[in-house]
This record gives sequence, C-alpha cells and structure tokens, in this order.
Amino acid sequence: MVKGLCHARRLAGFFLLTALLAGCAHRPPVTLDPGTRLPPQAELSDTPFFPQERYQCGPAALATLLNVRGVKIDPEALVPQVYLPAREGSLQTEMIAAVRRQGLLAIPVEPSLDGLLGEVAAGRPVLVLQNLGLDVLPRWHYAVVIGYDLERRHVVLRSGTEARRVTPVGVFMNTWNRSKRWGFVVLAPDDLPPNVEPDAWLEAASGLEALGHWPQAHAAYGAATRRWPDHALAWFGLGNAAYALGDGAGAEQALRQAIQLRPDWALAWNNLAHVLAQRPCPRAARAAAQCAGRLAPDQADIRRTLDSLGGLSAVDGADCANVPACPLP
Amino acid sequence: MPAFLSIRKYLAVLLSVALLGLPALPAHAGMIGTGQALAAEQGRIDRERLASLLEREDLQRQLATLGVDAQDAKQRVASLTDAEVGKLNQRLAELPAGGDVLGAILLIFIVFVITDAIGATDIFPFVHPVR
Repeated sequence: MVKGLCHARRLAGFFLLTALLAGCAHRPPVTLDPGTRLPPQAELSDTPFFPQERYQCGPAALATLLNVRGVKIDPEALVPQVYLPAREGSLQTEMIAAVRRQGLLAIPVEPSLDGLLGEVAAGRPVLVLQNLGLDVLPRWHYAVVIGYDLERRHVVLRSGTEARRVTPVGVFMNTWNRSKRWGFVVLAPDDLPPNVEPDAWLEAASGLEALGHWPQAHAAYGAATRRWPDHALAWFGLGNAAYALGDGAGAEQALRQAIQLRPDWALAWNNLAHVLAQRPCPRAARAAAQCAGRLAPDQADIRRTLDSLGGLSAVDGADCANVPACPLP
Repeated sequence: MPAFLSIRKYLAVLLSVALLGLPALPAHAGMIGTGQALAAEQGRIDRERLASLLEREDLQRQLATLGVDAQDAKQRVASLTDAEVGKLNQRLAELPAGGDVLGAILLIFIVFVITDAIGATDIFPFVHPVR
C-alpha cells in the first residue's frame, strides 16, 4: 500500500504540470458561505454500514439510509429493486422510487457544500452520487456522507467496502460536482425539517400518494399544511389522502381550505365535487362540478366530472353546507 | 414487426379502455391526483393516461432487456410516477448508473492513479492527493 502511494506521488510530480495545463483538475478552492453557522466538526457514528458487493453501491448506500429511518432491510433485498445488471449500477430515479416503496420521502439535498454539511450537522446522513472518475471516463458511485471536519477540511463517507472513508473536501467536491451535486436525505412523513422547500416535500408526498401509501401521504400533507398553511396544494393533497382513507369530512374541510386560498383553481373544485357527492351532498356536489366546468371548460377530467355529477339531485341533506361562491358565475 | 407492435398497442388500448370501464375502480375515480396538480402547476405536460400505460409497458421491456427479472421490472415500473416513466423511457441508455468503482484496465488504471494524486478523481483508496 505504502509503496503504491509513493509510486503514485512520483508519477504525480511528473505529470502534474501537464494535467494542470489540460485543465482537468483546476477548480477554485472550496470555501463555505461566510454566513454559514456550522459546528466545526460532526460525525454520525451510529449510521449503519453495509459493505457493497461488486458494483452494488446503490443497494448498499440505500440500505444505509433506510436503516437509519428504522426500516430493517439489507442491500441484498434492494438489489431486485434498484440494480440494473447490464449497466452494472443503479439509476438515480430508481433510488428515489425505492425509498418511496418503503413509505418514506427522498428529499433532494441543496446542491452546495453548506447544504450538504448542514444536513449532516442536523443529524441526517446524505446519499450522494459521485463520479469518482472523469467526465470522459466516468466511474459513477453512490456513497453516504456521515461526517465532516472543517478544521482538517475533510468529509467522512460510508463508501463501497470502506466503513469510514475520509476524503479531502476538495477531492470530494470534484467528484460530487460531476453529478451536478446530486444527493438526497430520507425522511419519515411526519418529520419535516425546517430547511425543506414546499415543492420538494409535496413532490415526494405525491409520489407516496401515487403508490397508494395513503396513511404516509396523509401524514406528509398534514405536516405540509401545518408548516405552510397558505399553500393551497398542501391542502389539496391532504383532501385527496383523507378521501382515500374514508374521512369524507376531513377531505371536504381540506379542499374547502384549498379553494378559499385559490378560488379560481378548477382542480380543487373538481375534487371537492367528488368528495361532496360521496358525503352525500348532491346539490353542493353539482354546484362544485359546475364551477369546475366554468373555470376549465376544456379539461377532459373536468368534463367527465360534469358528465357524472352535473345531473345530481338538487336537494341536499340537512348537514350539507353550501359551497363557496364560484368566481365565474 | 411494426404490424405486430401496432396490434399489441391496439390490444393494450382496448384492454385499458375495458379496464377503465369496469365498476371495480377504486372509490377515488374522478379525483385528480396531487401529482397531476403539481405537474400542471409547474407547467409540465399533462400526460394522457393511456399513453402512460403504453410507456410503462415499454419501460418494463427495456428493464428486462438490461437483465432485470420480469416480475421485478413490473414492480419497479409500478413504483415510478408518470413523469419518471417518461424521463427513463427517453433517456435510459444515457443516464448515469452508479455502481462501478472497481473495474479498470491498465491504461485507465494509470490515468486514474495520476488524476487521483492531483485530487481530481477518487478511485483508489491507497492514493492520496498531493498537497
């Protein structure tokens, strides 16, 4: 090992100038935002480690983050979910989908050193995609960032067969830059950290919804409405999830909230119509469907809603409330 | 071959239409999903449901060609959103697949020892960048 190292350094001295002239290693020095308040050092030593089999760093890195969130799963079980034999690797999209399959949210990390280290400092290990090679000779690799030391200028990774790989910040950034700084944290649906952007959270939550993980989607939308009470889409999602879980009253209330925030939103009127029809409040449902039709007369989904609900009875039960006034009379 | 494909597609459309008409649909039929609302919000194209069924079938075949077990491929495609299916369908061959750290022939070996030593790459654990 030591011999290889010395050899490498001699070779390096010989070729250093050429390589630098070629520009392949020249990058500005890595610096943190002056405003960043990070502890000088952090390491999430409790993060489990799964040494990878050949080429299978995707399943190994994924298993690491899932186990941190309490899912007892080993890389072997994830191979059929993310590994592509002919490509000898795993695709980013499928890594995210595998998190979704477990009822958890994969939230993209802010693509900066500050953002990355901030996650680690807050106790969240980050799965990153690196290109350990060059743009022309790529060696794509997934690893998990579990620590850093600002004084010594290094990051600590669970990587490949190494439980604790220590990499200089500059080298790490070279490899991370080549994936356009791609990475994510895994979060539970009821755990919404302060730095998450609404769209990222709602996107992940809608992925849970699309897979039919309704209780998890409900929890994620609920967390979103508490964090961003003025975000109509969060209420819209909460309404959808409540409806799917059989909570008609909760769904109606959430969709009314969405409409109050965005009165001209045809999709929310459309869904409110279906919820009301199920309550059953046929008169209110018909009014909501007609409003959706006036707001978006050309949309196929809404025309279907009008066809099915437009002819409902004009009499509601006693405990049915009127729908809000339609912005297009 | 094209004739065979078009018959398959035709059958798939017929079957999908038949399935859509079945009374056994989930209770939330007619409800617009939050993912679709989000996509409309962000100005992404609103995919037709039947097109997406065909695309899913196509992606499933592509995954199987790349060595994924047929049953696994089905489940993997099922866990993707429509937008993700569209993206993978178009760009599967060119997207990076993380996993390859070990394989390297001699020339590449030498190149990477050098680039490792100057800190541009990080292939070999035994090579540390020169300060």
